[in-house]
Parts: sequence; C-alpha cells; structure tokens
Amino acid sequence: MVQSVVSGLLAGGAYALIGVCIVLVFRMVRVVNFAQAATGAMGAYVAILLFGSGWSYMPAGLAGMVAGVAIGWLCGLVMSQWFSESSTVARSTVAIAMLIALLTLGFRFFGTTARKIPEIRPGSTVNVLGVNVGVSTIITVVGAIVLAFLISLFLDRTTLGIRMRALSERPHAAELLGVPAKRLAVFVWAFAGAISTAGMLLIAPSRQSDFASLGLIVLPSIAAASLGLFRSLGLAVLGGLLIGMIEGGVQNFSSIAPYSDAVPLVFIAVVLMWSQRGEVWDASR
Amino acid sequence: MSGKLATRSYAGAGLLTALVAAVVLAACGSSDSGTSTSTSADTSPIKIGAVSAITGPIPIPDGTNGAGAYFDALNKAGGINGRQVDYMPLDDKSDPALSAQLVRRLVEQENVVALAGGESLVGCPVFGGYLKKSGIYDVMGGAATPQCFTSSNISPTNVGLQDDVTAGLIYASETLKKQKVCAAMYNLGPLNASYPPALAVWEKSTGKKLAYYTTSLTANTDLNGIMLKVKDAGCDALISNGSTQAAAPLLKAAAAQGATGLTQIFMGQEYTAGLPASVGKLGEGVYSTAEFEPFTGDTANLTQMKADLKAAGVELTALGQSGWLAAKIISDTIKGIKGEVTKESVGAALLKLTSYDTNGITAKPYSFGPGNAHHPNRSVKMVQIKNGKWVTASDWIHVDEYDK
Repeated sequence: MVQSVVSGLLAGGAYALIGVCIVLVFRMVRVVNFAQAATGAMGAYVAILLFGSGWSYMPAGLAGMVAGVAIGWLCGLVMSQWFSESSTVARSTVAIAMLIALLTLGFRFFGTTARKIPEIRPGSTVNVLGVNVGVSTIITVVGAIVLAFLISLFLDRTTLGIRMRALSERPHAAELLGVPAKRLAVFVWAFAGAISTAGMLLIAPSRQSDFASLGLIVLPSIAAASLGLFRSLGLAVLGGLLIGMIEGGVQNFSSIAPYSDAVPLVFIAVVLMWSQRGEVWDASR
Repeated sequence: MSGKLATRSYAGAGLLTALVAAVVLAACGSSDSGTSTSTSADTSPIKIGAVSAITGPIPIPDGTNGAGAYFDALNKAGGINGRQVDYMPLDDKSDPALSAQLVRRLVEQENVVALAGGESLVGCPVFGGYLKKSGIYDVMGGAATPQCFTSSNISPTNVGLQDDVTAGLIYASETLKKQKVCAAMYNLGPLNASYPPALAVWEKSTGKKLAYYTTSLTANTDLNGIMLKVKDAGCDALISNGSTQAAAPLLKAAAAQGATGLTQIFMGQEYTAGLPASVGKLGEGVYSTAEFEPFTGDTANLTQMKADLKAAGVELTALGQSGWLAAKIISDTIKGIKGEVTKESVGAALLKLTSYDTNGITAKPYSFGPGNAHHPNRSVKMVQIKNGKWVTASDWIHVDEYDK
C-alpha cells in the first residue's frame, strides 16, 4: 500500500507543477488556463520530434522550451488583445477553446505513432520505501516545491512581482500608474508555457505519452490548484502530490481501482464542499 | 447586338434551350442519386463507406487508412470493371450517437453499396440492427466488441481482442511454459466485456489460473505501482493491451522496479513497424500477437499490401493490414457481380461468400455467408522483437481449437 502511494508521486509531481502554473496564471491574469498542459505537451513534442531526428537531449529540450514559450506567448497575446475586459468565466472559456485547438493540432501533427521519448538520466532510480523512484520523478516533485517557493518570494519581495500583483488585483489603477499591463500578462503566459514544457518533458517518458493524454493532465492539475482555491501556490503543490498518491493508493482496491480516473473529480468536490461549509452550517443554524 | 427587343428574344431562346436541356438531362439521369444505371459502359463511381474511430479517446485511424490505401491503388489501376471506388470513411469519435447518425447518412444519403474497413469501437451494438433493417453489409476491418462478431450483417477480417488475449495466454503457458502468467489489461469501456470470456477459454483448456490480474489500467495509471504488484506476485509472463505509446513506459516501469525475468506479451494493436524503435533496448524479447501474416516477414503474399500502404504513406501496422484486407475482399466480391452494383446485389454476393481465399494472409479463408454470427479469423501468429526488429516467432495458434 505504502509503495503504491509512493509510486503515485510521478503523476503527483506533474499535477503539482502544472497546478502551480494554473495558480500563477489565475492569480496574475484572471483565467483558469485549461490549455496549460497542452501548451507544455506541444513544446515537449517539438523536443521529441527533434530528438527523433538526431538532436541530443539538451538542445532538443531547449528548443522544446522555446516552442512552449512561443505558444504560451501567443495564447497570452490573444487573451490580452481581445479578452482583457472580459470576465474570468469568459476568459476561461476561451482557454477551453485554445485547449481544443491544441488537441486537434496535436493529433494532426503528431498522430498516434509511437516515438522514442527522450529522458533525463534514463534508468537511474532512487529507492524510496521499497519503490525505485526515477530521477525524473524526484526532479519533478522537488522542482514543483522549489518553483512554488520561488514564485511566492518573487511576488512578495521584488518590485516586478509587486507590480504584477497590482496588475492582477487592480488592473486599471496599475495601468494608470504606468504598469505595462499587456506585456506583463503575456510574460506570465510565456513563463507558464516554459514551466509546463519542462514538466511534460520530465514526466512523458514514464507514462502514456500520446498528445491527448498529456494535454488532459490539466484536469487533475486544476483539481490540485483547487485545494488552495486557485490562490495558494503551496497548496497547489500539496494538492497535486495528494491526488497522485491517492490515485496510486486506489489501485490497491480492486473494487474501486477502475475508477481511479475519478479521483480528481472527487477531490474537487470534497474541497469545494469543505470550503463552503461555513456558509452551509451558518444557513442551517 | 443592342436593343430591348433583341435581348428579349435572346432571353426567350435561352430559356427554351435551358428547359429542353433540363428535360433531356432528367430523362438521362438515374432515378435515385448514387445507384448505378444498368448501361453496359457504366463509369459512375462505386460508393463504399465506413464508420470508424478515427479520432476520439482511443483513435485508430489505421484501419480506414489501410482500406483507403487499397482503394487508391485499385483506382489507379482502373478501378472495379472500369469504375472508380469512392471510399467514404467517417469518424465517429467513439461517440455512439454520432456513430448511429453517420451510418444512417452513409446508407440513406450517400447510398453506399457496402461498408468496409471500419474500426468502430462503439458502432456494432449501436448500428447492428440498423444494418440488418436496411439490408446493407459490413466487411469490418477491426472489430473489438463482442457484438461485432455476433451480428448478421457484419463479418470482420480481424481476430478481435478476446481471441488475441486467449492466444497470448495460451502461448505463454503452453509454448513458453511460464508458470505464473499475469495480465494487466486496460479499462476500455465496452471492450472490457471481452476479458472474462477470453480468460475462461484459457482457464478451461489449460486448467491454469492467473497469478495477478487487473483490468483497471488507464492512460493515467501509475505503471510503477502495477509493476510492483507484478513483481510481488512473482509473475514470469505478463499480457497487456496498451496503445503503442503505452509500451515504452510499461517496459521502463518493469525495468525500474526490478521485474527482471518477466516476459512481456503485447496485443495486436501494438504490432507496428515503429514500435521497436520507440522502446529501444528495453523491448528486446518482447512478444506480440499478430492477427494476420506478420508484415515484418518477407512472404510474397504481402508484397502488394506493403506496396499499397507505402504508396499511400500509411505506416505498416496490423490494424492497417485488417483494413487493407477488408477493402480487397469487398472489391473482389463486387468484381464478381454480374449486372448492377447495388446494396442488394453486393449483399447477395456477400451472403454467398462462404470461403474467400486470402492467400495465406489469414490462417483460414475469410467468410461472410448467412447466419447471425461471423468470426472467420480466429488464429494468430506470435512475433517477437529481436535485435530491434520484429521477427515471426510461431506458427498459427488457432484459438477456435481451444474454445470447444
């Protein structure tokens, strides 16, 4: 049982990393970015294709990150150009449209052929509580934690970070004070694109890696982000790791194992009900 | 020319000509759109359709691609008795409602004379009855759900998931003499119905039981966790049926968790030309079932198939083989029809088709014929990755001989 839970950390790390991106984009740009994982998957596939045509790991990976940044940048441009005045719901719907577009393009370009997926330090594992955990898993989990910490630090302590918070909380006032709204928004999208590409490159070798499967990792990641109600980076990391470990643990019970894909949904439901408990209990008093 | 009078008379003449032309064309045109007229030099295209899971949660475009490749080559060589084949593969995205809608469209609007080469994962239970009611027949490429093999109007060319699994289990326990056979199968919704009967045939004919068995794998399942259980159960052979992209992570997880000495056996959809490259060294020694004469061999009967697939830019896969064969079967059947090619005459020809020699591409002849169940292909060969390439590893395993 413990082993199944520990080995769920690979998926958990992925959800945590993408979850951090989701929270960042939500806080800074007021949109639930449904296309986050698909953006990363696009970047990762560029790296995979280059690796397949002979490039070595690092150059292919970097080229992939550039692609991820470009796609993030493009999405950010579309969002801030035409939808900067729209509600969060409208903007999130646009993000869903972006997800569908990316999934369609991904299927068109990359098809269903199996490819050799590049891996960082293939074969290296560390034994954690009886499970041989891959180096990529460790990097993903540690990376998510460190990233959440660094971003929080950045937003609280640096001038640019404070400007960005001003932008997200009081966009009009910030613009009047000379904060370059559009540029910062697009920067956030591009940054999230880079991180999600890195995340995809880390986890793709160890799980089913067709484009659609990778793109739909966004759903458990959104569930992870919901733990902190899309506001806390640290809780998004915790949420991601929890979901991964619960999914791993569920595999031990053959009666519920077929429903392991429903864990994120149950997670969101529990989080939401718990967060609304004050109101429900007040109303019943 | 100028002047209103002149214009009016030209207009009048024009109108009259148009009217006459319309009457003549109407008289010459066929009464139903799409069906051929019975003139001896008919060159109108023969319409053949397919409903397939080309995209969707489990995309399998290979079948219709393979059939398309056959029809392309056939059309280039002149078509069927001088008539081109107009192949219409439609994508049902594994959505049952869409599947039903598309079949109706093919039969009622496009007036296809038959269906061929399709690989729908949800279609058979949904449109089996409709096919019977409309009197149209389907030479399916890849069938997976049990209903595809128990429908009066459908006869697939492939072996299907159930017999594939049984064959893999039989090969593991009877030929490879593995003592602890295990199975980690994917949760594929309607296809899950194939697992219990597949297991039952193996258990009954060998008297053995699986050491570890799960049918809950999905794209998100943690494969390391599964491999830990496989190792704990002491498995020495593992049957699994993931997609081609699931092969590498599964093998990686096995290696990472130290499940050495485990022989892995994949199912037919993973037998593709590109799989060995994607799994690298970890794939050495891995087996797969092959539902047709393995395309990685050099038997002469596959030359045309390989050429057609190559010409159409389609990857060599077992699913592509099934679509190609379905296209060949329907084309040869139509070639033999004397008189009009309609859905009725094609249906009659298929009902008479009790033995079609596939020239060794399948173990036994294909058949349609009357009856409420059609499952002509129940034999597989095993292939294995050796030195980074697939090689044929066994002769035909006839699953029907074990299912008595």
